[in-house]
Amino acid sequence: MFRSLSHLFLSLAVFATAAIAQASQSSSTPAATIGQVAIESSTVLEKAPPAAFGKEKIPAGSRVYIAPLNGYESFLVAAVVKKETPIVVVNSRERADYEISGVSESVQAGWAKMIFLGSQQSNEQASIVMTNLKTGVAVWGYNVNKTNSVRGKQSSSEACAKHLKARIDGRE
Amino acid sequence: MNRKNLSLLLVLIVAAVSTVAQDSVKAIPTGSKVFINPLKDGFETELAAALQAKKVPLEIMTDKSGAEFEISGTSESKKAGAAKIILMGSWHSSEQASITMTNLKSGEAVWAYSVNKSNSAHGKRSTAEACAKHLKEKIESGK
Repeated sequence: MFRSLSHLFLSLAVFATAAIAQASQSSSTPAATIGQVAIESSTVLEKAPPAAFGKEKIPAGSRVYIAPLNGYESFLVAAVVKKETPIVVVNSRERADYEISGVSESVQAGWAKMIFLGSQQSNEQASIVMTNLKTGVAVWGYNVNKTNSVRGKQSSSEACAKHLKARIDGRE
Repeated sequence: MNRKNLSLLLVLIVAAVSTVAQDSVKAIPTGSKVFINPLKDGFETELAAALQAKKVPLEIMTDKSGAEFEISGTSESKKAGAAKIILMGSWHSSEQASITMTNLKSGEAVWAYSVNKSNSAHGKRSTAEACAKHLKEKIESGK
């Protein structure tokens, strides 16, 4: 009885030591990689980005063209209207000062999600970039990921519109 | 002092006029001629029927050249799967749609609306009627 107990304790101790060793090894490995990345990035950062990059003020009332995003552009226009984002959406690139382009992805809830999580809501992610058509500089960008999107694409597009409004108002 | 007051008054008038002008650009007059672009899965037919059902004061055109406004957009429909029927006890479909109304002269989007229904009682008809109802509200508001 005593022997079997001591064997059990011994094997547990061996397992624990191995686990600790593995954990310390794995934590030290990324540090080395981060160090390498830091060295690499420092060499990349020698070329300083333009000072105006991402800081350009987007005037209220700017004319914006939303490029086709596989149907998501329509949700984006509706969100801009709902959130009262101070821009004018136009249907032609020639009439616009800025252009919004991007990508969106939607995954419907499968049976496993319904069984284990009891949720039938979709996963949504979208990423949009606003570019000044005169200078070609990306003035604003935003991405959103919603694991359980209550209103599907409507929710993700409204998040984008809300943050664009904040950017125009100078709150972001 | 008088000059200051006068210039302030002028600025206020200009601001008020521009606001009114901007509102009138965004307004949709009653009886406007509208062309509905072909939408995904024939949603344009549902929308035209909904505009009739909800008595939206618009004239639907079959030719874009004669229209003042254009409706474009997208719609998505997903029928209830076995898991939804068994676990959620619902056989209604999930629907989402989004439409944008554009002034064809100025090229500006004057109104847009999106709708999402997880358990749509009447499928596409429900989403189309939601769009029509809100469009009617917009026209009647006169803004």
